[in-house]
Amino acid sequence: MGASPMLHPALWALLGLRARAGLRRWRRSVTTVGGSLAFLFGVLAIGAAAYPILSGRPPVITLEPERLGLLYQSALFAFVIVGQIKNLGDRAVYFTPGEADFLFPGPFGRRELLTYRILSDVGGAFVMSAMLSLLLAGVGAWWPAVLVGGMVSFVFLHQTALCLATVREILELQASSLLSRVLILAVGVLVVAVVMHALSLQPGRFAGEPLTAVAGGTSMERTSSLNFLLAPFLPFAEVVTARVFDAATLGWLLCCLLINAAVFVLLVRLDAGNLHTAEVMSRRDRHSSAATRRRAATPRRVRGSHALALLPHLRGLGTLAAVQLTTAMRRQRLLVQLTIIVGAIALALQFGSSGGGDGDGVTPMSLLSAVLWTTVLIANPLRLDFRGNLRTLEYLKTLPTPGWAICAGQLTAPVLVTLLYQLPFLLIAAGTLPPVQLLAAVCVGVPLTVIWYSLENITFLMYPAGQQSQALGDIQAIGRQVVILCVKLVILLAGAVLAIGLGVGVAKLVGLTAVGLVYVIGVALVIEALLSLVLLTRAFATFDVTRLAAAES
Amino acid sequence: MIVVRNLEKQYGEVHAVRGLSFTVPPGQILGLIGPNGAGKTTTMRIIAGIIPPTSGTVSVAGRDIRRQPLEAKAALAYVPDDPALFGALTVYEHLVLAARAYGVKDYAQRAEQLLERFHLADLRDKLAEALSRGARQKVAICTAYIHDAPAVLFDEPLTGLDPHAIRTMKESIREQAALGKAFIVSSHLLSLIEDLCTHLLVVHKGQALFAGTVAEGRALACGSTAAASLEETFFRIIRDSVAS
Repeated sequence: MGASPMLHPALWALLGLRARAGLRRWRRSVTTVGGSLAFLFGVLAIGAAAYPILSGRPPVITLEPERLGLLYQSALFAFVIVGQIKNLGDRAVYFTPGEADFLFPGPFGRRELLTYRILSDVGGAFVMSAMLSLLLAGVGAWWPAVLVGGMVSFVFLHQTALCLATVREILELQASSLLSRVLILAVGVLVVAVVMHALSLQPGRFAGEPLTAVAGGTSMERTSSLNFLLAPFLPFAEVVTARVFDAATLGWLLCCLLINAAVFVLLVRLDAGNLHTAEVMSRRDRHSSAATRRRAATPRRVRGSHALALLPHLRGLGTLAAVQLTTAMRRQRLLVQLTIIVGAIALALQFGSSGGGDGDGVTPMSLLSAVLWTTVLIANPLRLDFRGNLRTLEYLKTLPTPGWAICAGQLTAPVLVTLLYQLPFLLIAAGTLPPVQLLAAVCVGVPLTVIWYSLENITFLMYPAGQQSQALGDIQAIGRQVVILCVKLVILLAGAVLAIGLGVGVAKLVGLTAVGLVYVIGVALVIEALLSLVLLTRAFATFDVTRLAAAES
Repeated sequence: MIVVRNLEKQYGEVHAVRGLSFTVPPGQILGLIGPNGAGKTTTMRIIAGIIPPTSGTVSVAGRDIRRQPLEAKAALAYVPDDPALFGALTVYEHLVLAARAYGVKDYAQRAEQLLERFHLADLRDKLAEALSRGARQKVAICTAYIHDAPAVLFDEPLTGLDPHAIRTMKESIREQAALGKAFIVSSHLLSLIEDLCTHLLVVHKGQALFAGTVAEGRALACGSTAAASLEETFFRIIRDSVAS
């Protein structure tokens, strides 16, 4: 047969064909205005990161290998945790319907299919490692070491994610639905507790804004609990922080390769016990929404539900909002995911306010920052609107329901759920902020949340294919997503500035109190939110369902 | 009931539909047939108000789909070839959704009858994402029937259906047509069209090659109404059009 012991020649050929297809698609898209702009932005973003190195200037910040290693280990740990939270409910080893139909009946062993899966997923690891090497060279790292260390790290991260997800899948299948829910929640809480504990032992604890926890890593110190937590990532950090390929570095590299091999063997073992489920689920995907590679962690049967009749019809708005709210209630994966994200941030905020040491507690800026980033974080997985209803768009368009009602119905659920998750921050702030600032937070927060989800949906309906997650190392996709995010943030900021300007102007003319000013700003933002709904309605009306296939591919 | 006049749909340089005109009066079952890419689904989507035509008019129950879209849609039911359901809703909730969207007041009894008739009663509390292809098709058909629309569009309605459901489907179409509803059924299954439809519309490359009764189609293709099967008729019409 002449088959490779690692991978069947046909699978190598398929990998090659897929790479060529990716290149072909890139060539085609880069000839369009949007595609070329996205690519340009991607190159500029990377170029900006690489400029200090390419220009030969000495790094502005130089991190000692020990410090860089600790940061690198922490980043890998965070990557594993965030990846697991983000992909809660996704299948561990995923094959597209096309792959399942063509490859499963083919003369390929499961080990070969797994190897194919991993190779196709980490195909962009070289590009990512190259980017990482440019980035870390800016803080004094030796780029060849980062390039090699980065590649083995990406393979390790990917395989570890698959292993953890497979373990979770096995547990879910063996446990009852309720038990699995409790288990997932318990693991989430445990992870948050361990991380909080490890951080609490740091001498310079971060204060106030949760994002400073990452930046604050530069002042992190090694403690026994932190070393324990980060031990699996040590060999990778040793390679990345090497200054020369000496015997010690090569030893660490060998160690990394052995770890990757061991994790692969473990994955094969775990997957073998989960094989039937994996195959059935991959096949079932053909019949579910093509946009969802997620296995819905929902009960298969719901007794005596009349949820849709609970809300008044309101020309269709109420009914469609009820559909989305029902979906939210039944998607336990989504809610668990959000609870962990928001719980962790709220805890960090609370921790920062009580342990920051300066006695200032929560500041309006730290609160605003936390709420803003929570909303941005949540908005991506919280696809209880058009973004999650890609295939039902055709059905929605056939309904005798006004476009504005369909759009408002779509926005209701994600906005309400987001507001629910913003509540912990408001409660934390209630203890320290004056009432007028709390009122301002509510008056500003609600319409801004509506505007944000409108923008998410408008950009989605305008560029449905552009919203799909990018493959590892896809510079064009990185650029596109950076552009879209920047545009949305600029529009949101402009809206806020306009409303504040209007409020201040009116306050000067009429002589308003602080509360009056807040009300004027709130009313201005509500008008802006309504305008965003009008734009969304327009985008929905002009959306061509024949683009669905492109968006799903 | 359904009136289409000079319908055109163009995507850039591609003409998906070219000058299509036809009428489906109450009680008629029109079979829309043609090769892949002929423009059948595009035509159905335009009639259903999903995509706008480049030019031409479509009216349903006397309402123009562009000028009075909500009224026209209220008189229409459309089942696409691969119906998408809301994954987290149950089978019964889909019927509730359709009933509320189309303003049906007392839908409970009708919903139960439809569930029974299409063998979905056992699945009424099952989530749509757990349904088989055939079951999803049945749910889509039930949602189309719940609001008693005077005009119904079916795009490949038999996909995934079991023999019992196929028979039920055919029976229901005949019954509803007898009650005065207008049907357009698009399918590649010529036996279905032959068995079910009273009229034919053959399209190719967006153009109508033939419009008339099934018997007229046979006569046109073979000179005799009795001799030719619909399959022969279809291939003859397509071949003649290519030759000309």
